[in-house]
Amino acid sequence: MFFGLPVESHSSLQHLVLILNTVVLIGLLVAVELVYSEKPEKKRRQLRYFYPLVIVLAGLLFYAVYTQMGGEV
Amino acid sequence: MGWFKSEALSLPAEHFVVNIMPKPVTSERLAAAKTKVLGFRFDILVSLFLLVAVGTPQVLFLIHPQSGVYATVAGLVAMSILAMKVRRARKVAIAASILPVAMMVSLSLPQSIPFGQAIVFYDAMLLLGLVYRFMFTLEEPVEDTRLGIKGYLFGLPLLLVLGQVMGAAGFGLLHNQYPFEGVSWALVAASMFVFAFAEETVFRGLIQQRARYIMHPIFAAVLTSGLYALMSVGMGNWLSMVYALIAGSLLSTVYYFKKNLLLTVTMNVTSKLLYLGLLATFIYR
Repeated sequence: MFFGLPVESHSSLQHLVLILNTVVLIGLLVAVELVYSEKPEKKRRQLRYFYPLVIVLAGLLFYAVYTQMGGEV
Repeated sequence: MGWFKSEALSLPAEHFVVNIMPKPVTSERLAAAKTKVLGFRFDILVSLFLLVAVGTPQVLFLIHPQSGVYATVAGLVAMSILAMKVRRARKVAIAASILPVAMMVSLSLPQSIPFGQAIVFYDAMLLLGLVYRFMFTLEEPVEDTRLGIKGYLFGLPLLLVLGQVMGAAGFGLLHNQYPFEGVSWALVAASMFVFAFAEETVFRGLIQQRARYIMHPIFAAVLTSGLYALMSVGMGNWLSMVYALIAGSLLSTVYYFKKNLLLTVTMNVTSKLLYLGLLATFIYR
């Protein structure tokens, strides 16, 4: 990896990524709920490791909504 | 998020330095690495899983970028499932999943020039890497690096030289593959510090460090080198991958012996800066 970036983004890839990101975010939240809901409180300590990923994916979702409302996407 | 308030604010400053020494790998952990799952050794299975999850999108980007996007997302989903279902592999799976997430962030924010695209990618990787380095040290006791003043006085100059050798090799292999033409040399040089720090934080500081808890440290270094090289496949140039494999192996070896990110960052930055300097002197003068 040396200045590694395999592909430049353009609008069609952007649309696709933002749509898939929304699906992944919803799926991740559902999966986390299913996996961790039956665990007692004290065994949920490692649930926090998923928070940064969820925050980033949620941020991309908000960006998708913003661009959609602005008519850019 | 009560854990964040109570634990984060009470941490001493040592938790935020780059040279935190991970706690020793015990023989019980190495024995656990050899347990069989589905007929394969656990450490080999996890390594193959991560290599396929990260490498497949890079290959598909060469053939059909949209398929590469689907594969990137599928890789992220697969690593998330691994993290949720297999507690032992949770931290290394989450660390590796930073790569597809950074790729998704980069692809979601199109930039007018490749340099801008690289900035977005590395910034996303760096931010997530720093957050996870902080979170992963909350639960485990850590000690500062065993490198003293003498260690740094010997190690830093040595790695400056090794970095320059690496940079010269990179120039020899990649002098026709410079992606940031037209961008100010000073700006690119300054960003090399960010790029190198991001790479070392994620690959050595997270993936290799966490992998050594579920596999032999040499195996963890090999896995990290493989992931580092696979991230270059999508550039469509086999020379980039060869160079990334050599550089990644050297960096992982240095981290295997010294477990100090300052040394690997020094080597990485030096190699990138020398590559830039040689390009500016001999190719783009």
